[in-house]
Amino acid sequence: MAFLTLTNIQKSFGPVQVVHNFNMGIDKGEFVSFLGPSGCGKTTILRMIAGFESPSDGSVIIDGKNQGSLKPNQRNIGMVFQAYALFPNMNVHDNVAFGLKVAGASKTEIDQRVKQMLGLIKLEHLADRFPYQLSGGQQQRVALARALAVKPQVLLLDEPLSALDAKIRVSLREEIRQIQQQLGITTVFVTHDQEEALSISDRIVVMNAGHADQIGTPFEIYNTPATRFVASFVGTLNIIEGKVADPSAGAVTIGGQRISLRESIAGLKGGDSISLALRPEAGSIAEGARGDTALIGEVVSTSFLGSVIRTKLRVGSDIISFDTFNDPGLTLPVSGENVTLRFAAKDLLVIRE
Amino acid sequence: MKAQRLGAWIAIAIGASYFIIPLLGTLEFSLRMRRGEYSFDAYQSVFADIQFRETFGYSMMMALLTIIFGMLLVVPTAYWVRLRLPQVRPVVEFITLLPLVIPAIVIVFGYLRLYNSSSMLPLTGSTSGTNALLMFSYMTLSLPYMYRAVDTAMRAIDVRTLTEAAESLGAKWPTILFRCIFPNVMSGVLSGSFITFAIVMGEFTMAALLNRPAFGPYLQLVGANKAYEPSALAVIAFAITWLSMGLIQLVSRFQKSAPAKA
Repeated sequence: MAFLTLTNIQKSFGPVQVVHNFNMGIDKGEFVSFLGPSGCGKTTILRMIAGFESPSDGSVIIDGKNQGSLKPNQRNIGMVFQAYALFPNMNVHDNVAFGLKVAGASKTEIDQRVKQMLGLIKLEHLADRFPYQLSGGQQQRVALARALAVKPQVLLLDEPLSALDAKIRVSLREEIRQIQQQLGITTVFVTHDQEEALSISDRIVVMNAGHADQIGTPFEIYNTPATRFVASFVGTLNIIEGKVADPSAGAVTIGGQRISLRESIAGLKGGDSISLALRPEAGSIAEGARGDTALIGEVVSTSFLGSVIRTKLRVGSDIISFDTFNDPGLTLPVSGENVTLRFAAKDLLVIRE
Repeated sequence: MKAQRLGAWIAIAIGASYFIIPLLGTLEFSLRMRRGEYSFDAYQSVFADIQFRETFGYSMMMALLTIIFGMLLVVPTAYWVRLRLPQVRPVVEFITLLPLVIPAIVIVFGYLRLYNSSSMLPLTGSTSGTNALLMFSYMTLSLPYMYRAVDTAMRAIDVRTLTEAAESLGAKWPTILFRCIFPNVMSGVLSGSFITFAIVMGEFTMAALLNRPAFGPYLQLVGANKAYEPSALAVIAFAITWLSMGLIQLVSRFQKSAPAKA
């Protein structure tokens, strides 16, 4: 049985329903990310787990205990906020010690635990500093230590990296994951950054308009998106519009060129429109590129993105992007040139709405 | 450019002289009690007057109580409105502004009708009851300044997130309010307190009509019967107000450079 279970969760604010019949079980020690755009309901679910919002219907069960009747201060849940939320009148030591003092721990116990937590986030030397004397990254690490000090049964992270600059975000997310694995604490992480979610999660919930469009491992979410929304939200993806040519043979046409799919499209009729997805890294125009499928297209543009070069091809009415690893010896195609894009048929996914 | 600057300085000089000249005149007059030379005789006379000490002490005590009870009313109200009832904020702001619009004499007559000795709550029937009524009326008078000062300080901190952070760490309402919120709005609390202090020390209408021995009615009494002492008292009253204003400035500067301590 799952450690944290969300059953038939619904939430409405007035006439607006923001979460629709959400169900999920999270195992003990698992790191689950809720990924989605603003307003998709991910933070609302997190706040319902914390007890700051009450579900309009459904239940939140942690370790077999229904949390419905418990107030936020009775749930033993650690929470880290986007805006850090450190108490400005307390120094780092007192901030981390706050939950322990509230719980009535002895001074020796508090000092020991605070030292241990500050050691965990490598900020022992800043125990006397006030929040305004710390950088954003340091403040968020203190917030993490404060949330963990009370040994919560679940750790909730509400976009904790959003207010930080790019470099700190990467290092802190790795630190969060390392601490989570070290402590084995069940963690729910809310983010709108797909790279963050893909890099640190055991599982990802992709939220769209109050629904979970897909729940799966980062590998599953990226490689086999269940819906058009997941495909477009996670990573860069080419959505290609085609026509069914022969459903029984899995043949479709793209810009008048016939290709065969691996996935079955037997349920469709000849002439039906079909949406297909292809990752930019799945195709290549290099001499001797491998791939059982080819499309000829006209080069529209090439963009230098550092480690990769992104080329856009026009195939019929579709624009298809593909990436090539940067190589100083590479000859880039010029605009207007006709090239052959090769890829494996298995990489071309059928998008179901 | 130079002419513009000169014009600005002239405007400032005219404005300043409008305030400073009468004040200098009052100060100068208060020092002329002894014939032919300047002296502090008027001040000595004021400080030697037992009534001065009594009324000053009474008003000081009333100011202190007004500040304590006022803050106990205003801080939780401003906090609750910010956290749970943001939609009623305009209504609360309107109510707190009413004492600026309604004359003190109207308020005190209202109190006398409501709380006279033959009413349901006969506060004016006893000295302690009248003192309590006077303190509540001072709270009403200082509400516009006190509420604004506290509300502005609360705007500077993220009340909702701090509350939720404390709640998630197991804290209950009294802990949240007194350990997480109150210390962080201390600058607003102190600003409101000093303004309240200045208002209470100089207030006449409420104290006179409730017949309490406050500093305001004493100022009026001395003004009607003596020559030099009223000027000395006016200078003392100004000094108290300026001291309060100076302390507000000091506190707000102190708050900018260092966090409030719990």
